[in-house]
Amino acid sequence: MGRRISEKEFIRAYDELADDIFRFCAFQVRDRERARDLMQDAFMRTWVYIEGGNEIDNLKAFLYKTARNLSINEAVRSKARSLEELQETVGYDPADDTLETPENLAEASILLRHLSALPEDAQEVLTLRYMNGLAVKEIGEILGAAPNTVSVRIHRALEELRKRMHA
Amino acid sequence: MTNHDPIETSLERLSEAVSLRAEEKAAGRERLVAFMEQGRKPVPSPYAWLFGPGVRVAAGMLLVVVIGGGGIVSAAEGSRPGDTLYVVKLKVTEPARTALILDKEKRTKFKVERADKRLKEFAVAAAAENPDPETTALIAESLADSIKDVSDEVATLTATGDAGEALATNAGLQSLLEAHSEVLDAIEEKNPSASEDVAAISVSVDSGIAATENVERSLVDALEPALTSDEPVAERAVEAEVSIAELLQQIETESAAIDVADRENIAQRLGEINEIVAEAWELREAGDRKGAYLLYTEANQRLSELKTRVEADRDLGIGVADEESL
Repeated sequence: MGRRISEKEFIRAYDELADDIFRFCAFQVRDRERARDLMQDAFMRTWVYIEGGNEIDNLKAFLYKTARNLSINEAVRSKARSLEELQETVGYDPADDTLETPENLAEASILLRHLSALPEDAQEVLTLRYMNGLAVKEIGEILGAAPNTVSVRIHRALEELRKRMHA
Repeated sequence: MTNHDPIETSLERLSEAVSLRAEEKAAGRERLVAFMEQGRKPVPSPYAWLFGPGVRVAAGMLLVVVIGGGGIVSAAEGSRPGDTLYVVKLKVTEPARTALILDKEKRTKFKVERADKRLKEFAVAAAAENPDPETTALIAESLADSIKDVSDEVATLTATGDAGEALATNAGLQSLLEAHSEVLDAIEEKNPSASEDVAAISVSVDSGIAATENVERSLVDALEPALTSDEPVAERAVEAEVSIAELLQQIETESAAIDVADRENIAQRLGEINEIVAEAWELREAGDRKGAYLLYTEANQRLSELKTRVEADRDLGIGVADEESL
């Protein structure tokens, strides 16, 4: 059942989820600036929806869904980004300095290369599960799929990634 | 989330590398709060709220731009044709940014890049679908402004006796416009329904090319007295070497996206450019500064054209790196 979200609650949601939504968008569009704009847009559009008197059951899932729709539009509009752009987005602006060791950068680079070669839906479930740390049930809500289906997709995506990593 | 699978762990670690910087997050929060306080809603048309009856909204938006310390500005800068904030980028943020660049050379470079950016934005929009007429008009206007601004800078450089820099700037603009002229033709072939939009942009491009050709003729004569030292020649030489290295690197990193025939064509063109550079070096060694300067300028022009075509080929898949177009 949906409920009204207060202004205070919404700002708190921004504080808690802005990084996650940004990260999700970044892996979708592979462009730091665009991801930042999409994250912002997702929050603004969600607030407009709330202001319109609508109720939301799960704000986190709603924000992800909005960000996902915006990212899909963006991805359709712009050409897929190169691997180098993805690496630029992912590998050279670490929040954690320890990731910047040559070994870690090399590992991240290899992983990204294989990850970006996977089908888009596989990339998406892996992003939501591991990069965003969401539970299977939450991913199901965002994608509109049953938890079992999500689990199978994650499993297959991981297997495919493993195969590519070890090939 | 805890697990011991190395790949799952690596994926989780990857996420550590992508996060908002504290200042980005704070700016976003500030922008969101301002948005919520104003009770504004996004409007579908990028123009209605700026020029139409929604002046109150525009005033509010501009106020946020001024006092927000870059919030909306940042969002506008990343906008593309069709986005709500695209008009803000073209009408507010870019002109403001240009005005804030005090170094004349950097300002001119920014204006050339602005023209390039506009043409690339148009190309992406027109290759996929028909941009709306307002967006095309907006791009054409911004492009014409940029070309005029650069031409004015070239005229100023010429008047102040810096014919070398004027020629290089003019050549930079010329090569950019010539390359994009080819791209526009290719777009028209790919998406004939966008021909009216392409024609509207081509008017600015073609008149810009004609203007730069006229300026070039007058500048060549003024070049010799202006080259009182080897420094301007050395600058052009370094520019050519750096451009060649950058292009080679770009081709290497994107080799998967460029087909074999195109790679061979590009390699052949790079070989020709290298020959021009080698000839320029010989003239420079022989003391012919003007000859060397002109050849280095030509090499830079060709490199700029090649780069634009390679990028267009990569981004739009319109085959502009094909042998015919090169």
